[in-house]
Amino acid sequence: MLTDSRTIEGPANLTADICIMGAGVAGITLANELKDKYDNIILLDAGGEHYEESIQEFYDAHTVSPFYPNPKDSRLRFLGGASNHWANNTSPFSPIDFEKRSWVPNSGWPIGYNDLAPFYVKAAMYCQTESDSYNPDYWLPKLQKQTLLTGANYSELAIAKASVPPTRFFHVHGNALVKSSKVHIYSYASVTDLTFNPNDQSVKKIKFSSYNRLEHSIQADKFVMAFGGLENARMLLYFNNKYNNQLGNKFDNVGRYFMDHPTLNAAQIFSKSDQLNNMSTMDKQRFIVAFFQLTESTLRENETTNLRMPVVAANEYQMSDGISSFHILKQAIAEREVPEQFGKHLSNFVSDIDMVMEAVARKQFDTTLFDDATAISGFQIPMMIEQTPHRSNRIYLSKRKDKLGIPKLNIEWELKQSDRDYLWRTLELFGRDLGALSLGRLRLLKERSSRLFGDQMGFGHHHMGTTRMSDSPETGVVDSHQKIFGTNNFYVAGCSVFPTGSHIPPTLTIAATTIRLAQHLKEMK
Amino acid sequence: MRSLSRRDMLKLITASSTVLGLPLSHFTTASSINDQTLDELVCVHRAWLKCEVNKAEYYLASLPQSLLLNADSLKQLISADFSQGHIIYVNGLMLSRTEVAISSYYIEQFSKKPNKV
Repeated sequence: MLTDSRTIEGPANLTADICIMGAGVAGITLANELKDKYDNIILLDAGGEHYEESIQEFYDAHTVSPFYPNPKDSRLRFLGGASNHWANNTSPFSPIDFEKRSWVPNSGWPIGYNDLAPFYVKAAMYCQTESDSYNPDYWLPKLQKQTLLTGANYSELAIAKASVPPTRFFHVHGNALVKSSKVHIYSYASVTDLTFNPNDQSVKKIKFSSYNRLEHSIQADKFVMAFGGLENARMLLYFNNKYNNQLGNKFDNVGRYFMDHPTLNAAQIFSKSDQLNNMSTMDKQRFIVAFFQLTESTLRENETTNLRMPVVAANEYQMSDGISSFHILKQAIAEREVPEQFGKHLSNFVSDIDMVMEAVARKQFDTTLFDDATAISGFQIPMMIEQTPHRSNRIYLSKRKDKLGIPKLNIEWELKQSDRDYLWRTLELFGRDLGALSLGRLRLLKERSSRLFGDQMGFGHHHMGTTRMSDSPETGVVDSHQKIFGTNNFYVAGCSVFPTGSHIPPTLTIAATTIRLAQHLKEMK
Repeated sequence: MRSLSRRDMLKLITASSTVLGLPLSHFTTASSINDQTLDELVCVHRAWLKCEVNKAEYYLASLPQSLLLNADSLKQLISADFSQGHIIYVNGLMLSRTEVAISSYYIEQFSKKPNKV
């Protein structure tokens, strides 16, 4: 059943076996998994069935760090959450992602890959990427790339699958919940308060607002927060203000270790080989892509982190040094400074003036000038970085409040120098394989660092780590079953529980960890 | 100049492939080269001088000459450079030590010819 909570007359006092707060990927997956075991599930979402600016406004945050985007522009506060605009890019994490790596501070999950592996198949079904594995041995022959890296010392190919069109979780999996007699979905239900009994360490009830001055309460045996990677921490910090940090925050871990997946074009490949073309294919309504990464043994031996490295053909315009140098010079002039390598940027600009003019024409006049701007001249690598977790990268409550009186977020985020060093080290190893196998030559764009790690840096908008999973409350917020330390009936679902985020988009692993959580909750019934 | 632009780098790699297939003795007999490619070779030569103590010709002389005179074996030599980490960056481009040495040697020989540089 689906109820618009704005239609509830008078303050309601609801009861449930389980109350799931948030109907995004995690919340919808969890409700679906639990409905064959629990008879009375309440699933709340702060939005309706469609995007609404006034509701979205509640995600507004203040980003202290330059270049880090406001989550108001990346999260979606309505049924289905961010799956309403994701790319559906899925791959499983690797075994090494779960390990404690001596060279990666704060790494190590309390569960291993084998604990999660059984749930990946079902997770793929939720993501509609099907159960036929992500194994390169299966897919590379179909892509005719099985020999591409034969003899490589450091690199390997991995597979990403994406459903076409992308799976909008409420659109695809919501109907089963709406039809179920065991699940009651309340839309326009924004959680505003929580009652916790420190004596028996249990959450007794929560309150939610339907944006019309009415507040309703829900009593349940168990509560699960599935608000999203930032909202989970925001609400938990808010609740902890009321309960003196007894909800998993005794050691000030909530909101810390915040990670994202920075995306960069930090290297180019020059190749005369046609082997780097056609790295993707369509297969039964799915987009299959082979991407490069380092092998686990390489990561261990070289003590570096991984990169997700798909390669895409790029034209003259996209590869232009002149355009990049033009922007650097323009910024330097505006700041009345002389940039590093001034002469080089100037010469890039002058010798590449045709592409600079092309850029100006495209931007100012929405037209193209030169035919050769579209000529393929190499390959770009729109890479995704694994960011290592640091305590200083964090979100915390600001003094500004939203319309329901809950503090908005401040976000402090930076890509540490060690992560930048890992990036170049990993790229160098990949470049050595390209050269050794005569696949091409890699060019590292270090001279563009100021822009690559500045205004040119993109993000996966994968907000991870803020309620991290750990063996101990000293180093985490939730235990290996995603139960908040210091409580006995309060859980978190979503990638906020990831201690490390790999170089892989998180949604498949969000679904897998949530199915694992569901199994645990079913066993407790 | 853009030192080593994407287009010109492709040309350089193409040129290098051709050059690598030729006996070294041919290098000194090259009689013409366009200014742009010359600039790029100079850039590679500078990268060699920045990274190496000895001149390129001494490095090349230290290699078995039979390897240098055969395109396939030279290709293997370059592959081995990459595998063993014998790489030199030229404006961010990862080139093998041998590739850079050959280009550097070429420019040295070219500069000895009158009226060329």
